[in-house]
Amino acid sequence: MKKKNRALLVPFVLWAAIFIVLPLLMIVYYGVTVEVTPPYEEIVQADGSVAFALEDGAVTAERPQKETVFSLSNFRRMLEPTYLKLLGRSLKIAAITTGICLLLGYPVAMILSGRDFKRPALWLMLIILPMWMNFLLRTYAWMSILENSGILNSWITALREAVPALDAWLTDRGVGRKIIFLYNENAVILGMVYNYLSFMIMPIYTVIVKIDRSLLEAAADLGASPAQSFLRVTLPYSLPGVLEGVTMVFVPAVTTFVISQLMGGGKVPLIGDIIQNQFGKSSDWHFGSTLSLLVMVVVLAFMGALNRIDKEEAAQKEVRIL
Amino acid sequence: MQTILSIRDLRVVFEDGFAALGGVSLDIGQNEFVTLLGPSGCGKTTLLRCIGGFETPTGGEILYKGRNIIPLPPYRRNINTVFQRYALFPHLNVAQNVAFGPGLRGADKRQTAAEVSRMLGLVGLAGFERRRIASLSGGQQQRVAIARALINRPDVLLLDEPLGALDLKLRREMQGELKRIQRESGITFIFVTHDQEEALTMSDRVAVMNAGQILQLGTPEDIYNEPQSAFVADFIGESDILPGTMVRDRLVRFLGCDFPCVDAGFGQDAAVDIVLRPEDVKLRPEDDPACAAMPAGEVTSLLFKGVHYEMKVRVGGDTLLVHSTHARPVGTRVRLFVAPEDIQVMHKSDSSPDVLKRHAQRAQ
Repeated sequence: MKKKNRALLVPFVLWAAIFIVLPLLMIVYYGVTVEVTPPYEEIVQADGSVAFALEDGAVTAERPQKETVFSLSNFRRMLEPTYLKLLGRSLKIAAITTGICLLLGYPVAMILSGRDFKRPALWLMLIILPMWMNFLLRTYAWMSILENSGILNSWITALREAVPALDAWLTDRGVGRKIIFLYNENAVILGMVYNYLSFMIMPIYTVIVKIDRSLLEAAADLGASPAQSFLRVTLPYSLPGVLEGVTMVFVPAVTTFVISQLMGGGKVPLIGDIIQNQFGKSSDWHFGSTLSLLVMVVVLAFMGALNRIDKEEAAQKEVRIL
Repeated sequence: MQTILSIRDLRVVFEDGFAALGGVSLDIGQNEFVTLLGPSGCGKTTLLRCIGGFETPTGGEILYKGRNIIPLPPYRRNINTVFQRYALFPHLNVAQNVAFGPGLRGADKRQTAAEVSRMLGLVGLAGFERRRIASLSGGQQQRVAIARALINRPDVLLLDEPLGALDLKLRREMQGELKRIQRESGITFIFVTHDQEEALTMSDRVAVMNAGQILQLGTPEDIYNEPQSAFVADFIGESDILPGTMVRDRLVRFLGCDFPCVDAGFGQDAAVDIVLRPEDVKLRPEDDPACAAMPAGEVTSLLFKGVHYEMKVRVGGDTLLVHSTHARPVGTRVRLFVAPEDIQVMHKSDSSPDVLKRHAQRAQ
């Protein structure tokens, strides 16, 4: 690369060093250290002043301060069932969210990329448009729809009053006057699917729209029904887009804390919530950092696995050809 | 010859109102090699796509063994296509591409493998089974596309300018190959091209198309020797098209002279167009007593073309293209001689349908 071009890199390198590398190093540092106060005894000395006797017998006039020392004790704590369960739940909810996004997003991407579909740009815009609104605002909107005295419940109530048969039918099935939609796992999953769906649609759409139409025509010409055409041409070709979409949904879903706090009302704490808690209320940055490292490792392992699927697929193609 | 495909008054009007096909009718026989020939935009590819099922006609019928197949989707038609850019599946190797059709029908794997090898042998690609598509040359890809279509034993094979991307030498070679494959397989070929030489070389019959119409349908010899319109004459090979007058039956006047000809039935003193092939125009010395009544002119350009010389001869206000193995230097005064059977006489404004119909009747 020419020197002139290299100079253009300087701002980015600085930015990356200050905002990516340094914080990462700080997290590692916090993660492998703990703050401890050395045990001591207060002694009232003859002249009435207070002294502090440390375990090794030394006596100082100053009260011993907390010290930061190297320790892996937080890693032991991290592996306690409480935290592993939280991580497990986070992974489960993220996996369900990713699955639902894929099931909803893939058909949308396919329909939008269809030759007969008029004005796909407009529809893509409509899909992305809500994402331009503040994330919190969108989530609060869902809450006001779903809460106990929210819009949905008031509609259901109105409907039950208007149709007594429905009311009786629902009452028979033990459905209460107010249906509780919020503050459970399903609500959290709904919030995630809503917020992350477009991240699934976009990469899949981008890949499908590039598939050469003549390949689909060739498949049909050779006798492939639309379903066979999909399985043998569209699906293999769209796999890279699917993997990218899965990454784009799964990774933020594992680490989010806002959605679980708002939609889950604190009843469905995820690993992200606990980490946020450590840096907030509990102000135990050390344990928070250790948990962050754990999540980072899990996410990296997940992305590594996806990468391997992609590579294996490519390798399989090679093998088939050899 | 048994008719396998019968196209009746087929019309395609696109959404923007453009009439790609304006009522095309054509009967195609079993094991016939029919070429749709025309300039780009003439509707030949649209016609092919209608037969393949990729385009829905706005009117007319396509009868396949007597049954209208327009409502059938492409995968329900026993017709296969070799696409212009081959449309091979890049994620599959040669054998997998060829085996795509049988695989869809759930055919026996071992049998299919044998069949694939046989097909690859037929198109001259024996031993190429495990090669990647990307590693093949254009000509090889084209053969794979043909094998992939033929393995399904279609009754009709559609070929959409399959030789367009090949260089001249390879194209010549493939023309012979395609003809051989068509003879050996007994399959009906419908071939689309804008290359008149290709059409004349390979076809049993040629349909010359322009502006969504078939202007003339006939054997290559008919099309070349008896063009029924100025467009066909101009499109098929080089030709001189001159205004003339049909003095009476078997006598026509152009370039200021009377020529005996073989055409009749135009009436007296009818305005006509005369088509002359450059190789049919003979040049004689100006003082040749046998040609004293023939038009005189002057050679204005001389080009060596390998097999022949190409000359331009100015006669009055007209310039004629003449091919001859005998060169005449620029500036030479010459007389033109054309044999009666080499003069092709056509009605003026000849591309209107009713005139075409009259021509067809006359030909019969």
